[in-house]
Amino acid sequence: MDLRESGMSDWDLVSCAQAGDMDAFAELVRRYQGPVVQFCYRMTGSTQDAEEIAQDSFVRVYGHLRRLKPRAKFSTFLFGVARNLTLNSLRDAKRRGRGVTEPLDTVSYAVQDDAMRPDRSARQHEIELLVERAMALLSPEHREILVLREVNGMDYDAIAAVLSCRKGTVKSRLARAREQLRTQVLGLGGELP
Amino acid sequence: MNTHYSVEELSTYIDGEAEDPEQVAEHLRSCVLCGHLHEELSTLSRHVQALPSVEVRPEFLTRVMANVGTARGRQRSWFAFAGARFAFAGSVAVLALAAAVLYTARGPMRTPAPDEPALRQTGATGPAQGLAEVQVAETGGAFEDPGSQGNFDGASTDEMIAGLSETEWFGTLAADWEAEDDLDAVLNSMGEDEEADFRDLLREYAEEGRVT
Repeated sequence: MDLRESGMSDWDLVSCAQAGDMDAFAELVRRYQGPVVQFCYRMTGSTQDAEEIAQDSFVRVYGHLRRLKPRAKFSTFLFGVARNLTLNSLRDAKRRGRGVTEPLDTVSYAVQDDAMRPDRSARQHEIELLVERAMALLSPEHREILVLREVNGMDYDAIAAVLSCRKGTVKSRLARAREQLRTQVLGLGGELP
Repeated sequence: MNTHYSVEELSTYIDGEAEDPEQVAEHLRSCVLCGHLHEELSTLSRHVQALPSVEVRPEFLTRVMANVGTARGRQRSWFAFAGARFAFAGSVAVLALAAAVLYTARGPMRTPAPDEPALRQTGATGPAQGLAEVQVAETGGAFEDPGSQGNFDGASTDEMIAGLSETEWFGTLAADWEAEDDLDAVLNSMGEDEEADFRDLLREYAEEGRVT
């Protein structure tokens, strides 16, 4: 049976993986590798760090597989692990005095992206760099909530579960994050309508 | 509405989570200030959503599965090692503890006479009580004041330990020993690789605690 087309839920796959079916776990990785790498990349600004953290997240989840119970969404647990590892990585980087989220990788990616999409305007590229730079100036707390909402498209309940906080906290923190981002964009000379 | 909406209220509205979206929409149509702020926040939101995606390389899945396989093997071997080690250490400690308790409470055992009864122990709640409630098994008879010696007469050390191990207080002592085992002693007895694996496992448990 092709698990990709089986329509199995995440928890069905977890259940199979708990019974030793490695294909089921591989399918979980396939489903979430994109969103998790994306989250880690937007948090760290480095594709290499993002892949390493995302990889580690899946390995950690596998390590805890037997103890997983379908109390919440599987993605919540996975993103919770990825988030913890990302914050640890950011703390380590800070201790080592390494700047985080400098958009060097972003530039290379954007250039690759432009090569694939020549229709992309220079203006669009400029806006992307500006927004990325502004996001890099946010605190990890504000950046993570923006990424979970805008990049990963999570609703408030899912974000609250990943961040282990109340929905009210999500509302207020997200608003502060947006306000901070707006301030940073304007401070970097960006224009908003 | 005379007052303006806060950033939080507008942010919630943008995300489709406002309690009364109709009211906010109506206000935005008539209030230039709120309308402008809403437009700025919406534009920013669209810009962040439109940031280019990172392509996940095809080898990512292969690498994850390879690491999972490695972690799986390592975990198995560690548990096998840890299981054997803890089982051995636990057995030694329990025996030593039992012997120490018996010796301290009762003094040295004497050799039982051939016609003396074997011993059986019934539920007790504390070390002293546990020892005091050791009963003669032969007739299921009532407890006799143990005095200073003689209540273990007729029982071998193994029988005493077996009897004691069924008591509640002994169970508590054993649990305490397991919970408060000298971690440093355990770590010192490990090789470098074993210790690294053990510390990794502890770290994982700590992280799991934070996640949940």
